[in-house]
Amino acid sequence: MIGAGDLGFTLLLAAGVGWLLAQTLQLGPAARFVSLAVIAVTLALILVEAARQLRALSRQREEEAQWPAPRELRALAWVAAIVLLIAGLGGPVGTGVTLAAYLRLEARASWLAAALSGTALCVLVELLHRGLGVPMPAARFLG
Amino acid sequence: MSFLEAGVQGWAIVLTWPNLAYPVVGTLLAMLAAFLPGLSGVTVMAMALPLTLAWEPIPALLFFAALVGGGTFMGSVTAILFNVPGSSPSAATLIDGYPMARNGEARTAIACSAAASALGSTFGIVILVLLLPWVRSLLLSFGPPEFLMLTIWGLATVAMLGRGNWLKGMAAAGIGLLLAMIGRDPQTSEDRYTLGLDYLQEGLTVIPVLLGLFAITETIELMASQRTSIAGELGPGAMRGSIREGIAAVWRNLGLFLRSSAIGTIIGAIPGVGGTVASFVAYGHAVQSSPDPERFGKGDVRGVLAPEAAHDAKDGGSLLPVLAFGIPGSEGTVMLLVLFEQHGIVPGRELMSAHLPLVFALIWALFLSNWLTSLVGLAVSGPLARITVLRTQILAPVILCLAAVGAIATRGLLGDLLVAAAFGVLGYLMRRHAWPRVPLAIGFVLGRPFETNLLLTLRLQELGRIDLLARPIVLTLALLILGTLLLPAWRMRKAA
Repeated sequence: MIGAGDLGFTLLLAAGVGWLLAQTLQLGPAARFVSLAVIAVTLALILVEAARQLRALSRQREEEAQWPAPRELRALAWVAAIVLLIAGLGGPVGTGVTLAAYLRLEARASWLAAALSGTALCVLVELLHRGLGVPMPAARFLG
Repeated sequence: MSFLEAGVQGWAIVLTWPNLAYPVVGTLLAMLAAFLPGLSGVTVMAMALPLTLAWEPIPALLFFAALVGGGTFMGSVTAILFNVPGSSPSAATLIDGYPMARNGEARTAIACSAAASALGSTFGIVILVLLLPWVRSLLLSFGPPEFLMLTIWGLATVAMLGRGNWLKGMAAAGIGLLLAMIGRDPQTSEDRYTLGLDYLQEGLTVIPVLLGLFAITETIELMASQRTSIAGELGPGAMRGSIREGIAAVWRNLGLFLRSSAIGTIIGAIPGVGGTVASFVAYGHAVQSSPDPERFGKGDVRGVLAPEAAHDAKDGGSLLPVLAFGIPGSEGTVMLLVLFEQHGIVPGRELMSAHLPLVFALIWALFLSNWLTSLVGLAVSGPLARITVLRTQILAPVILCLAAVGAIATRGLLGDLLVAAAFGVLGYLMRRHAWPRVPLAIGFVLGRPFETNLLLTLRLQELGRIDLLARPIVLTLALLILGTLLLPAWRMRKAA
């Protein structure tokens, strides 16, 4: 079953490769040689796939629901949150806070369990950073 | 001194106390490091370099050989359990390893990985020992055209992986190749697709991209799905598979194991190609040579066996160029080379003649480390497999946090985290709209060596320095590529 979302995603990929093509044409002849060949083949394959999906879509009577479900949107929001928290608060604190927040809000863990888990992860990441020298953007709160 | 005498003396060096303690401690440290996000045996090696300056050469060499061998298996354990590749070569293991965990067969997958790992490394080491006298002439026959053909062979495996939809597989590989071209052009140093950002000038790095495509994508899927655990509704008692089944899988597929190990050893011996190519080529070969290729990607134990055997057999092969010429074939062997320099050991003729027992001590330490890793892995596979029945709501954020830490831990750049997140979303959309992610990963990993060697080959051809038709390895690889591309079409025709 193919939905409009499938075709939309294929066209999005085609647009991305098209943008790369526009960028490649601005490069010097030596720099664009390999990229142009790969872009031409990739774009052709994507467009053939888009045409195949369009044909299948036009033959199909009923359309499958393709739009993101609320659960999917919430999962994507959590990924955005972890990125923002780690970037904003620093590696150790950001990961600790994210874990605590998720456990409390999504897994319905108790405040105490969430806080303890978050602190444990924060300490682990900090130990990795300080004890083993793993490069980690410093936590802004811990200094 | 004969090779046999040197081999026996090498064993004597390793088994003498306290020398024996160095590979054991090194192995356990590498295993622990490989299980933690963003760390690997190579990280421990980098940290240990200054610490081992004051050591005698033999303990330092034994310790480092164990670090080379010890980390590989545990990276695959995280790939099987959480879809988080501990290192880039483990990305091939997760294609079937993680579905096995989802089917409640994590124990079988880990045990098969451990057995293939130990036996594969033994295969690699045996070949290394047998080839030591002839290594020089063999390695000198590899140049840019051979490297190019090898990367094309790796890319050709995409033809089998995208068998559900060949067009999508090839297009995804093309997108992977294009993503690998982000950054400075290798020939002209012009910036390509960098959006004017300094961060992108060096290109995208492999670990954040793979963590995004597989680990973060999987976490989004786990959070969004109704699954209660990685292994679905299965309780701890209902888990299928066993350690015995995992080990037996290696014997049942002995031919595949031997072929995959040979692929790993050969590719490992070629400097600059690395374990990732070895794993993916071996996986592609497993699919291609299987009578029922449709089972791959859904939790087939052969999909774990082939990349694991190749990945670990590569360790033996990768020592060949280091010992014979001082040319490192991987990150681990770069560290080993630095250690050689620190201790005044010069690779090449002198090392291969006057210090032959030392060479064998290094080889046996690697052997010991690989076996120790697998035995410890087998012992802990049961408890580790139970992680797959933990509640999704507890496991998913932990995996997400570990993946995020792993993404930034490699270089300490927050940009890597953003890249991992972006690839996580891209991977999720690809999964949702039935686009295969593995061809994209293969295209991305092979993109740089493909472009560099293509440009070098064309230049050499233009200057009249090489004749492609007079190079037997190029011709052999060309035949293999043709076979790889034509076999699926022939099979489809036969089936029709």
